[in-house]
Amino acid sequence: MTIDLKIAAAINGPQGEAKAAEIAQIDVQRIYIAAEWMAKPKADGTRPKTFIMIEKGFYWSNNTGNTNAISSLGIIVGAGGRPGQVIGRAGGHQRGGLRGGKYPRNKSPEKLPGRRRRALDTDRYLISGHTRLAHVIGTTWVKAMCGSQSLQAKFDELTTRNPHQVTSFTKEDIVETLKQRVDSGGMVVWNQDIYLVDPIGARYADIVFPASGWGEETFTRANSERRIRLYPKFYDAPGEAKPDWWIIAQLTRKMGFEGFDWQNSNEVLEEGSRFSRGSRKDFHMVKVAAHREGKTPHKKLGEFGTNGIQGPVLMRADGSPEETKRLHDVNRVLPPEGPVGGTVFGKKLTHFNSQTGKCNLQKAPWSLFSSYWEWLKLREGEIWMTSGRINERWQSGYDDRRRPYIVQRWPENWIELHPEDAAVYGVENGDYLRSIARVGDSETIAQSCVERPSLTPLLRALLCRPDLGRTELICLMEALFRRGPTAA
Amino acid sequence: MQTDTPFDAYMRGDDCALTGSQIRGLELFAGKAGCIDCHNGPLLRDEAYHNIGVPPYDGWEDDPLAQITFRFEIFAKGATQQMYREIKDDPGLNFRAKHKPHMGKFRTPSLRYTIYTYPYMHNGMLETLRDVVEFYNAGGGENEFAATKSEQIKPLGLNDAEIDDIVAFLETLSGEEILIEAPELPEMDPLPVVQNRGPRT
Repeated sequence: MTIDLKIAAAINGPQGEAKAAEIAQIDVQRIYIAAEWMAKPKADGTRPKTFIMIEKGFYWSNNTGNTNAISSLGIIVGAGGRPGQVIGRAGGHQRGGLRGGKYPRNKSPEKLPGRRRRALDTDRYLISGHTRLAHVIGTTWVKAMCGSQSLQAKFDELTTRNPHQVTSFTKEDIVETLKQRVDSGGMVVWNQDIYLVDPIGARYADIVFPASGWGEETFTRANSERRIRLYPKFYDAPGEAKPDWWIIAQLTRKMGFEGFDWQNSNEVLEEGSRFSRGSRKDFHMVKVAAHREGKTPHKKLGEFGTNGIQGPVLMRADGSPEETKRLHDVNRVLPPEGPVGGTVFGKKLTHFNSQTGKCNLQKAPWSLFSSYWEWLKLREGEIWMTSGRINERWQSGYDDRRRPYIVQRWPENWIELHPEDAAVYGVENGDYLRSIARVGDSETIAQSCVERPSLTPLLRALLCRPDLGRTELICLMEALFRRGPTAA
Repeated sequence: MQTDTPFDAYMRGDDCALTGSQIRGLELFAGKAGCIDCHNGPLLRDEAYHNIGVPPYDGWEDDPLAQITFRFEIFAKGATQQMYREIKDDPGLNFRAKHKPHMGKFRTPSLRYTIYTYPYMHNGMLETLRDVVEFYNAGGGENEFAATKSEQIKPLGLNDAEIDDIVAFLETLSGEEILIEAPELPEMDPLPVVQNRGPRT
């Protein structure tokens, strides 16, 4: 590890560690202690088991250098592919599903140089007033990450402020009104979700498709460790709620597409299984095994019980399934006869998923990031807010107002302040504060562009969002909080 | 699956579908020669991967263009620097698995309609079905990946007449050649040109 640190020092310059310590607000020596904990061989020569967890916000800044640095650190200390040595991202994401079909990108209206086209940006397409029918499935859309006030304003303009509003209970009248709205340049919205979301479902949707959730229909999914299992129905869906596949099947058949004649979710799984081949959740061989035994995949998965089976699932020459305990497993010995039948081998079973299967260590020198860091400094008594998290609350809480428990427990947003920062502003615990963000002030940006040309792309990105942000918060003071950058 | 072959007719009960030599070939196929160990099931293949020691394509040694193409393919499919510079043969399944025990392994091909698929083996190094049977009779060949060569490949001790019988049997696995008629192509109809509108604000 000493050698590694020397390399790091060589890349980052003699002030590398000092700069890192300054940013982290810790003593330099603690960096060396951490390095020893992570990688110093024990007396018997073995290395400590190091587990690296990355907060997902870490790479939301699109800062490849940061991500490179921590991935390289993980590889250097041997995290990943070994028992008890893991490197992974904390923070939930949509991981349980099967990848859907491809969009017809060559029909996208947005053209790139040459023959290529950019995938449709549904937000910009809508804001430009082109969207006539929006089928919104399981997303808040206007409150999602890229949602903006201008998006919401356009939603209002195209739907609730269009002159053609439904005033009748007759189906023919409703359909006629919606057709007139579309013909007049307005928009019809369908919303499909497991609960009513405001405003997309409550205010903008003309038709709501109530969808059933898990436990309300027998189905399969995978958890974050690729454990594919059956989730049997234990509860009736409320009212007229139906599974998503059922709703889609009705619509597609009405639209005249062939197929989509599934009778239950097992049939959807049967049709989709071969598209999982080669993926991390490859369960196709479970279906092959099930059919050999005259069973349905649901029945077969049910036999694996609560633990399910970890993908990718291979099939041995004797027809028995072999699950994948961990990916990139350096100790795994694959069956000598290769991927028999419909089984697919991916290099990620035993190796890195790079082209060669070998690790690509990428440099992340401080010099690439330092100009940005110099620019990104607290100025004129600023306080920076990052998106802090409370365990019970999802993101900013925009989707939690429907949950009484959370609303009562966390009735207000709050900001963490170090007592010294709080003293500067003359605020105390429990004070009601208002924070105002001036990021995006165009005058400042223009000036910075001239001074630091290397920042131009980043600043151009900021120029796209010259909004003034404003938030009301409750003050929470604690000496353990860092000064300056804070969570809110 | 197409089953209009003499072999399938014989299996359906038509004893006259095969000649005496072909029937002897079938018995050798399923017995002494051990072909059926891998060439089994409806497609006459086990769908598994083996290294039987097929020698590398000779063009990679004496044809400069083939040599360049070979090196490029090794590079493009993802190999270490050492492999890229030193390897002399197709690593086969290793391209996919990146796992040394799978060096030089290839998937057992089907024997159905095989008289139309000459030359034989993954790199076309054997010209005729007789060459193939003689290759197996000699216990396979030698290539760069000796460490992964299948233990099932060993000298068979077949005499010339027995080789003739097996070749005669292999020819019964094909029916009339299946050829695809050229489809009528639709008229070229490109998508309308979309103009760039410049950055939107």
